[in-house]
Amino acid sequence: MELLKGDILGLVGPNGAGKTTLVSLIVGLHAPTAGSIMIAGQAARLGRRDLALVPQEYAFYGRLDGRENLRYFAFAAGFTKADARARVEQVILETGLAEVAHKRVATYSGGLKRRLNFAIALLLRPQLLILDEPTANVDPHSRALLLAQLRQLNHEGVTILYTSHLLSEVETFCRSLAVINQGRLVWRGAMGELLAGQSQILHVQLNGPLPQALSDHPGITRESEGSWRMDLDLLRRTPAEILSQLEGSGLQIQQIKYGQRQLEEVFLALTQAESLS
Amino acid sequence: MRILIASVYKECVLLLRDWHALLVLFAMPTLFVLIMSLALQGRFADHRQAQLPGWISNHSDASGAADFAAELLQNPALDLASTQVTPELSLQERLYWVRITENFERAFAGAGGVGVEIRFALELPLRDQILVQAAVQEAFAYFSTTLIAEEMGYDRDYARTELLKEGLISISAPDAPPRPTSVQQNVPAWLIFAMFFVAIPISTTVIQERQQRTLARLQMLGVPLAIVFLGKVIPYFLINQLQLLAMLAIGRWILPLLGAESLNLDVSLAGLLWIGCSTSVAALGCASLVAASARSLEQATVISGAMNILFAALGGIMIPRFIMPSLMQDIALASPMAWALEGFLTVLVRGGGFLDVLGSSMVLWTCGALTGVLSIIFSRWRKNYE
Repeated sequence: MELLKGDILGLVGPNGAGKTTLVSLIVGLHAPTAGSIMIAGQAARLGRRDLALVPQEYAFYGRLDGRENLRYFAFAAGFTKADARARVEQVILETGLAEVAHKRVATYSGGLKRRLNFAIALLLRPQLLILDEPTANVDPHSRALLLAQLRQLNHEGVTILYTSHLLSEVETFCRSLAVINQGRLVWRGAMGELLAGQSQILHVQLNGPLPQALSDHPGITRESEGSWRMDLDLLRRTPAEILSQLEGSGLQIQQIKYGQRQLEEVFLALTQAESLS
Repeated sequence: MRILIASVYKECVLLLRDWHALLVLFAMPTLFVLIMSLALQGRFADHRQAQLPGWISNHSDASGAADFAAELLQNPALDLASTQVTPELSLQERLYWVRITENFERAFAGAGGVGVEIRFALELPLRDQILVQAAVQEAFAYFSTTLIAEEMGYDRDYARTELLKEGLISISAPDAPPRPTSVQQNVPAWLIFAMFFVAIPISTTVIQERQQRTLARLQMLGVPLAIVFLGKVIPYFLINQLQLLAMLAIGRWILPLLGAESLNLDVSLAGLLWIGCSTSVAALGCASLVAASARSLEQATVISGAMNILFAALGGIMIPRFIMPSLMQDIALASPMAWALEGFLTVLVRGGGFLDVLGSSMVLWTCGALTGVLSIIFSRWRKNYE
């Protein structure tokens, strides 16, 4: 599995798939039992200054204020006193923590805590930024702010590895995707490539029951009363052909929706198929 | 070095903002020292005092009564103070009253009545009541035998050597080590207990940082685990030394205000500080072991608390070792608290110095080293297998 410089890779998988373990291996917290991990030509190890992790957990001290936390981690990263002070203030501004930096972190909201978690990772100006569920329990406003900052960083050349269970977020934010399940890589490629190869789906709402010839077809599934999901690839028909057949059966079409399979459906299909095999 | 200073500073700030930890580390031992020193004062006094304090009053005009009183005052088992009023008998004051009645001469002549009355305080143990009674009877024997000797034309010495055969009984008693007073026992005992209580804040913060991945974050930044460990241990070592100073100060200046005796600090300060440092090393080692072995905050709290109470019960903190049976005194040495207390008592009670506490301190350093190594083994095992 490769992650190219400047890419935004979404790393997804069900719980227990091995996402956090993989992240721990990349940052050097664990040594691989087999194989190797190379980052910019060097083996993964602890103490790299070109790599930072934003962990899922709030990895800071609740009884310190935001500025004290950042300053401590800046010292831990090897900054001098003057450099630490300057960098901390810069990161506080960049992450919008200026108004709360003097307050104890235990009093922060979930969104502010996520921002501080992110800010600590930014202290090092990493070239590879790894985010493990960074938007869990975050309100939409904070999430949008965080994603905008990440896009900006990526625009400046930072490579991003992003793990999340919010697949709609991964779909819109990431350029490429790796799906892992039970410790194995199930799929790896560009996001567009994955979704482009997916079935076209037609959702229709009818005023009556579907003729048995159609309802028994494996490409058609009932979503709710009078609402049907039709996989056009399995049906091997165009939308126009299906609609004319429905009208020919005397049914009235009340609502119609046409689109591709979403990442969530693809993910479920990929991981379920892997689990079954 | 910068990161070590930053870590120590950070840990100190965290601790100063943790009122629960400060209460456990300072308020709890203060209360224990005050309560136990005052509550057990009489109990310890019983053991250490050779003379039993009591009152004597002579209500007879007879010269014989005065001679008998003089004989009583010479008795080495009794510490008598004269009174002419009915005294109050209490554990804190004097425990019995020997009253020579107005009828002494008549009673001595066999004309009836009681010549001497003895009243005991409720708290005085039966053993001591019998001792007082025997001492009064002994004094009376001396008094009456001297009278007989004098009537026979002999002197007082004749009465003692020839009539009472004083030289007949040979007594030999080994020099028992001095026993601590209530203050000398309880101040260091509860200080040691408090010093070992650092296991709770240390282990819970380590587990919290492990669970929140703060430790992983520091490792990723290239901070060596040794620095993380030292950054956590140094502040608690300093806290232990503050506890030492605070508890000694309470013993020296606060307890006397409440009616207890003052802790004598005119002792070897080098010995005192060295045994304090050694106790801290053992306490921090045990704390590290709990931090490395416990999986959750609940486990850490329970293990730390149980470990401390067990060490204290076994090590002579709750029950002084010198009143334990011989076998239990030996078993008690399995507790590092017993060695720590032994070291403190060597300095505070027996007037020992730095060299005298080296034995105890070596055991404590070994305990600290062993628990430290075990905690490293546990941490590595956890990293590899969890």
